Amino acid sequence: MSMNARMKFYCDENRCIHCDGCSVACAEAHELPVGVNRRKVVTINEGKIGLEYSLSIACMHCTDAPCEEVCPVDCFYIREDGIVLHSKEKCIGCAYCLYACPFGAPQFPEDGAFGTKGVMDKCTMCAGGPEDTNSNKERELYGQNRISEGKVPVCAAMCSTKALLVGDAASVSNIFRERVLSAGHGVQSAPYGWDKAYGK
Amino acid sequence: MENNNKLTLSEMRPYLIIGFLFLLLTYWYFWLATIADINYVVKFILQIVQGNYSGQVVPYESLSHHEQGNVVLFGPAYEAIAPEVVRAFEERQHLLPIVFLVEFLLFLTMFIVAKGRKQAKITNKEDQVLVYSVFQRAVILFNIVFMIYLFITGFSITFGNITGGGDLARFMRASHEMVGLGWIPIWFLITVIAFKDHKFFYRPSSKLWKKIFLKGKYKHMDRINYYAFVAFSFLLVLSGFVIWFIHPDSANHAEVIQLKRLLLFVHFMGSAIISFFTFETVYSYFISVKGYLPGVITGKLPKEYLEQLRVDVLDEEKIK
Repeated sequence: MSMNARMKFYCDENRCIHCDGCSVACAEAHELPVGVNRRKVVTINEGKIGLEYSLSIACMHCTDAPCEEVCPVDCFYIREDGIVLHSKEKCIGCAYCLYACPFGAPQFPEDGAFGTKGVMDKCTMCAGGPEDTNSNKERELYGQNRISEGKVPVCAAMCSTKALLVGDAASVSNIFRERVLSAGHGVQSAPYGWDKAYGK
Repeated sequence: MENNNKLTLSEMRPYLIIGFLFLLLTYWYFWLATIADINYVVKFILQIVQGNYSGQVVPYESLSHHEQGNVVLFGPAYEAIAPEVVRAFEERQHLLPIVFLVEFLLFLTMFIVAKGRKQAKITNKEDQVLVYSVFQRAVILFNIVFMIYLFITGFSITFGNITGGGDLARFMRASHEMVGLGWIPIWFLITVIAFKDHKFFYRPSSKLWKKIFLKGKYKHMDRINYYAFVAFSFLLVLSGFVIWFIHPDSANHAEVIQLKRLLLFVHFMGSAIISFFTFETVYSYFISVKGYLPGVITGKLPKEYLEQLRVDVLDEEKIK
């Protein structure tokens, strides 16, 4: 990864088959409580022929992250590689980040009295948090830190159709560009999106 | 009696001035200062009135493929309200201290112009009149305690840059929700008992009325404070309740996120405005005129105090 790398997710709508492998893998790997969905798969225009498509969505690690701007206690920080992380020790669970987020990424476990919210939880791109890397505390609060081990985030690693891309924005962009250029070549009469994803 | 209830133009002046200032403030706030899409907000509110809370003001079917994706995944029209919430939150931390300073200077000026504080000369403390019933005292005291707590905990969220977060700030935020919930019945009761203008409609004569409604008549500014308190507390109570207890949870349901954004905006606005009227109430009852705090606990006020500062209460005592 170069010094200027900015880590990004991209979900290829022509490949995603809504298998939920990414969200299940994420929940399992990070031992997320019920009700917290760091990653969600949504199908749009469900049942409408030719219009239906699915997308896997989590924190998009925005370059100019509105959650970081709105947080009253400044619990967010953006790493050099562009991954947006937060400190659960500082977070007060006010949920302003949720209102500011264009992707509905911040999640709040309802673990207080009368259903009051706990501290915010969101996709860390499997990069842990501000605690010591790979420490028990980091694991307990934020789940696995796969990035520090040189691994791809678990959602992208698990994606069976390779719809979910992750990595340096330039590399992700190149992969998608190649896919677009190869569209229209290869197998015929395939399911919806297959031609665009794998070529005819 | 009827003639006393009719307002002359000079008596209406405070209401007209405050009303005009409020219109000016509203115009400045919504049409000049805000970056939210006000046309969208108006359409959204009209839609809410009709029972549609989605925030999708144009038909979903008319959107492009890409726009439909955005709506389903992230909620409608992100740019319409969310940037305003972000900006309002950032600016509040820096602007509110200035606003409070200006308000303090305003009260200080009023204090100087009024040549200090009005005080009653009390020679016989023992000669007292029962002014507040037990029920009224309980409601007033609960309201004071709840409001102080809500102010402290609410501002602990606003001024998070000072608290720095952590366990205590988190507890204060969570308890703001719970205490706010508990304040709803208190707010309702204080709204009822402080409705002194019920006398415009008929003169209460039974003992029960005296136990419910506070005695006396409002002076102009006190009346404005009361109605502002009722109106903006209602906004705060409603928006606060919906923000925290709406179902389904907006974290996983994009269809309610826009409503929550709008209500958070309303909550911000309501808290800023009610702060002013609360400070004004405190100024009116305790600073410009020396109040008699033990009266709120014992329910009794010295007769001399009432004769000098609260004649309206004594007048009502005489009408039985």
